[in-house]
Amino acid sequence: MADNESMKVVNLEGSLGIDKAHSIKDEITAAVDKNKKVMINLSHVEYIDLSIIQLLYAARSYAEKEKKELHLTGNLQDEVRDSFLIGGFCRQATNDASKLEKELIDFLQQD
Amino acid sequence: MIDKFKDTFKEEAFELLNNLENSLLELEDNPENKEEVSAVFRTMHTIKGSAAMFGFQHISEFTHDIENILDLVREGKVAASQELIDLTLAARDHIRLLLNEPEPPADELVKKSEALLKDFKDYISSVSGEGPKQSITLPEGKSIEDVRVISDDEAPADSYVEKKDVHHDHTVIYRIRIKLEEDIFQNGTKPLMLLRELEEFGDFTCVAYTHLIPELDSIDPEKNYTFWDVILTTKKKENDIRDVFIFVEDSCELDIKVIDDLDTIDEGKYKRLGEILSERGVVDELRTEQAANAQKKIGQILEEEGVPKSDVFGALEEQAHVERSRQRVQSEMSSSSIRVSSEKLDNLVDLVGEVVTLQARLAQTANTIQHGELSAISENFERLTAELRDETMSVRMLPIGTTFSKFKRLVRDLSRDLGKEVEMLTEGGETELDKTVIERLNDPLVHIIRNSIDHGVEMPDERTAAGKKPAGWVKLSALHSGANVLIRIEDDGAGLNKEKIRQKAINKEIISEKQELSDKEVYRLIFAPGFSTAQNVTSVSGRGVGMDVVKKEIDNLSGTVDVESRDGSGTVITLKIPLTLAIIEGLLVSIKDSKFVFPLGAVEECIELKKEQKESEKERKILNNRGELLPFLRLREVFHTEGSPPDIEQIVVVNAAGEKVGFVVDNVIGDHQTVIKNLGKMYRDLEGISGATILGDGSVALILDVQKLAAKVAAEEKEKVGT
Repeated sequence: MADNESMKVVNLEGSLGIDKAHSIKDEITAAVDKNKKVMINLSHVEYIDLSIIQLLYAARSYAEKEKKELHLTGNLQDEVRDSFLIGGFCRQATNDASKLEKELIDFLQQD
Repeated sequence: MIDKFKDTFKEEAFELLNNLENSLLELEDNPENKEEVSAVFRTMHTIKGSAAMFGFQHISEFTHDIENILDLVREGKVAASQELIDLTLAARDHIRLLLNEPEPPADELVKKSEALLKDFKDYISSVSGEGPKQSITLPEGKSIEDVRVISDDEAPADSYVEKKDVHHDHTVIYRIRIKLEEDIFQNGTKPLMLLRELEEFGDFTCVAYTHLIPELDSIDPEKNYTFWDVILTTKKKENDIRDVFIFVEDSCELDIKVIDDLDTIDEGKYKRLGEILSERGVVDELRTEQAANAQKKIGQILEEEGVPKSDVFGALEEQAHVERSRQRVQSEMSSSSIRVSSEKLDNLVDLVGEVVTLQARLAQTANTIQHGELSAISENFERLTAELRDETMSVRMLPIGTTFSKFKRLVRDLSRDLGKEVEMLTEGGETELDKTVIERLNDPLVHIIRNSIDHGVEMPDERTAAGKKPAGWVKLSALHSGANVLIRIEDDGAGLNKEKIRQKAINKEIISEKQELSDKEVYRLIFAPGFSTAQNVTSVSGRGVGMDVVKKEIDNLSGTVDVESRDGSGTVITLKIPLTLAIIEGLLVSIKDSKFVFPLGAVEECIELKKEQKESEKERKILNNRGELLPFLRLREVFHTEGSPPDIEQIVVVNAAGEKVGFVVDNVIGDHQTVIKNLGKMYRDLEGISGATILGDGSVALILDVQKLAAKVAAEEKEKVGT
């Protein structure tokens, strides 16, 4: 059962591609279901592809639907930051994930 | 104020028309050159736009129709044939004429416009149905005026594979909508890599649309839900963009539109947000119009309409991207060169002239009062003045190539009229000359080139009979030689016929039958007034006034003309022109209290004229100068100077038109930076004086016209021989 006062940090690591998509989906879903607040730490991500970025969007909207909080955190590696930028998800390049989520188009519905 | 703008427009239009002519002639030589086709189209487009802006309605409409036709060429639907180039050249000439006429133009000119357009239409209809490349079918009930470029959205959706690349080497802005299939990840495609490839093409703005991504509980992580709009400023062609997606061609929807062409940049702002959104089909046009009428803020309307934020964001990004690209192009254009009226430049040169004069005074004063510090200042000032002078002069320098390219049309038209084949070659077009000199060289060059084609280059059959190629050439070349520029006009024609020239000169009583002349002297006869070697007077070479006008104009430029000829293999006319007419190096001399300046470029040497030599001169003023006979002239006599000359006088030996002539003066003072001042209307026709200059002490020195004075010596000599 969800511990409504708890906060969970999901640490994503390494090179994240389609092969990791299912496990990451499950991990985040579980974290949102079980906690009031979820932080996704992107500091240790070396590479991110479109499937995982889509999952971040999906997680955010899911959390909103579930009335939970979900935020990105950590210090992005340049490669990851550029993926967000070139993929057209944001206008400003920033390595600070908590700032990045404010830049991501349509990421935050309400905040 | 508007008149001022109109003048600027005209000035620019003339320049554009010259470019147009060059491009057309280039195209004539190389009809497949897509770059030139684009250049021709672009120029017409620019003239059309600016003509409309400045109220030249007729020109704008006329060019508009022609632009439509040229667009067909640009699209490869009509070939750039000889006939079409002829018509476009005629249209270009007509626009030039219209520019000088008040708006609206006289009926006569309007009729000419209509006639020209009719010729275009007739031509276009005549090439219809001549095979795929040449053909153009006009929709029923449509005339050529209605023909437009079929924009990408009007074209059938599946036609892109066959569609030719329209935009060649233009910097254009594309809007690329990329929609990849849901299953795109299955075959290992990495969409972000594709975007990275596009990013390398140029200035890249990408907007991802994420609103289709489901929530976490319903997402299939192996599916793609994102699509993109990319705004790309690049010189790359549409096919290059498509090539990026070549491996996902079957599983992607690619919609590429050109939204702006930076080479035919429009002034002002890009489309409004509402326009962009309606163009993208996000909101319909009617509603944005209503919104505009209702004076509501666009943001408010969009919110009411429930337009996704990402769509608004995408449109905003597009707007910002296009405006940024336009600004960059404009600032590139404005920083690389600026347009300054030649009047301002002339004023600047005048002022520099004043500074040079003042500096001379300062130097003299410093020298007179023997003031150390002032002398040091004066020397520094002198150095700076010299730099300032050189820089200012260099601003006025233009490459002579601009003039050369004008003659290409002349050669083309003339040789056609005469049924000859003549190619024009140029060399050293980058050689720079003072703007004023270039302007004044135009007429002499026209005359010389006309003569070369008319009298020099033979008819094709004559050439073949003489063992030459049927097509001849005329070559224009320019090169620097000290403070002068040598301009050579060379042809591979028959060369000058000495005997014919001599006979003609005798018939015209230019020379007497007994007169012995060297080859050079015979050749030089063609510059004598009233001389024409053509059997028939033609409209091309006129009535034989051409070449003496050439001589006169080159004399006025303080230049010289030289002719060489090789029997049967051509003629070379060399013009030696001083780089500038504003400030020259001069040799300052004095006669009694008056000072005179010889252009230093013409001076060969200075020798003394001793009393005993004077005794021997008696009647004929000829001196033995190191074994060479040197005719000379006493400037004291020319200028009616009173008093007696000093015991030892000086002779300044000058090279005038290839001959050495001496001028006797009292004293040679030394070289002098000479700022040339015009003498004004009253003294303009003074013979032997070409201008004046102000000396360091404020007094005036006259600048001698050595060519005219030398001619006087020659005339006097002739008279003596005659008597």
